[in-house]
Amino acid sequence: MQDAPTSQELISTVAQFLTTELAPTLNDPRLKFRALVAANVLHIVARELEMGEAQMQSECARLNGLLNENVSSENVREDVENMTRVLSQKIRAGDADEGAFHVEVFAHLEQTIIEKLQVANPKYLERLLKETANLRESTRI
Amino acid sequence: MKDELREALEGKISALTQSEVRVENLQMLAGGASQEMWRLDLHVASRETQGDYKLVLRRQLGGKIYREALDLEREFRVMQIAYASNVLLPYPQAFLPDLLNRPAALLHRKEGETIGRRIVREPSLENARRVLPAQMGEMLARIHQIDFEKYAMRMFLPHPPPRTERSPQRSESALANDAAQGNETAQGNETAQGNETAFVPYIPSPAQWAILQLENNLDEIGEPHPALELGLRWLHRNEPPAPKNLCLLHGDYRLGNMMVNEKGLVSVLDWEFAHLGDPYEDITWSLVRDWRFGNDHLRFSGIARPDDFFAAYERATSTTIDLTRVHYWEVMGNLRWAVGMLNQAQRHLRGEEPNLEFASLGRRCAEVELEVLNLIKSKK
Repeated sequence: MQDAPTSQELISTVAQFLTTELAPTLNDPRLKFRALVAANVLHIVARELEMGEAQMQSECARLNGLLNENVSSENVREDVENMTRVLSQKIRAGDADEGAFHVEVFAHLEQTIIEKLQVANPKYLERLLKETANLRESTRI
Repeated sequence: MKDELREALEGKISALTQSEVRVENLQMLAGGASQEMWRLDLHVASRETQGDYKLVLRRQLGGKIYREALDLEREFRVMQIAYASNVLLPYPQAFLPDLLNRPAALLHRKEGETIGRRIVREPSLENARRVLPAQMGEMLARIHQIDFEKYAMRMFLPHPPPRTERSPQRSESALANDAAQGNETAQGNETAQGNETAFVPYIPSPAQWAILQLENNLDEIGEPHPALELGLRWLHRNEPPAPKNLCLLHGDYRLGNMMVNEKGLVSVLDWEFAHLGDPYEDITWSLVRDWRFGNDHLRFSGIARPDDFFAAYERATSTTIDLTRVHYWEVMGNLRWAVGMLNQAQRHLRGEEPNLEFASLGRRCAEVELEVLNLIKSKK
């Protein structure tokens, strides 16, 4: 076991350094922008370290259910990728155009994208979910 | 490098103008793996082009961003035609096929803001933001009204394979009817000597052409994206009737490719994605959520509702914008941009253009995927 700080804490510290210490000293606006992009990328990695494993497990379970599979190898990431590939082919072939399978696929994809955005851009996710909630609210009236 | 470039430029321009010339203040504006941009001042000492010029030099270096992007020479030809058709863009001054072994173009230099984010936020551009939607609508109409057949643009621009005369949608009797009226169909005209041409698939509409490109592009990238596949299926199943006519399209008509000052639109830039297609492809590109820079409720590029833009386009073309088609092509636009992001990420991953921003685009694709699902859910 490694001593503190944890890898997440280290990453956050570097991101903090880029944003608050380095970026303000950069005069070239393009370089400054890139420093902020770099910090943002580090925040993504930190969130993935925190949530990635659990997300991958639940995505794997959903895909197994959706495709009537019972895949569980050592490598969850590989399983998810393979099943996602199969799902993509089914969708392109028109298998998920309508009916119950369409509804299930749609729900799975929505959940998967939400999980991707929880890591990649939680602020955007929050904004968009709020907007669609408002939209539903207004169409109900 | 700079001195070498300056000397090469002076040599080329001197030969073109038959005059002594001087290149001054040569300065690189942006560099990348595929293209370089320089600014320079040019003095032509004598003869008919005598004078001082403020110019931008663009040099094409390596690979292209997308397979469908034009090389610099063809982009330059499109710009010449657009310029002659009263579209606002920098005057294309000269094309140099071989400037230190690379194709290059000289364009007049105009002043203005070109960074989309700043156009959306900058306080001094508030007035511009008020007038831009109408200006951009009117300008897009000008582009779409260019008579591309007159300029034989099919010869050098990507376009959906034309409706062949033996279209499955045309009955034998209709064909016979044509023949009876002496309406020569191209079966006879196309048999001239020359090489066999490509065995192109029959594709009846610009939309299906666009879908096919996206599917092929996704296959090339190799990463499974089921949400994008579902979006593509929606496009297959909800296609409106094909447009009567193709148009010349700018191909990347959004705020980030406009040059803007306090009075509004100065120039339409970046013509490398010009092609022939369905006008709604251009009309809806500015509506893609990712160009709104956080101003989500302002669907037109984060600066306005689309009303003024549509109205100006309608006035200038004497047509009516069809909101069903807008919705259809907005879905298409989002899918195009999602695939575009993946392409950029691939450029980084394949080492063609290692770049932090390109890498981060790979993780931003999910934003557009969510938008696609929302768009196809709201209307079945």
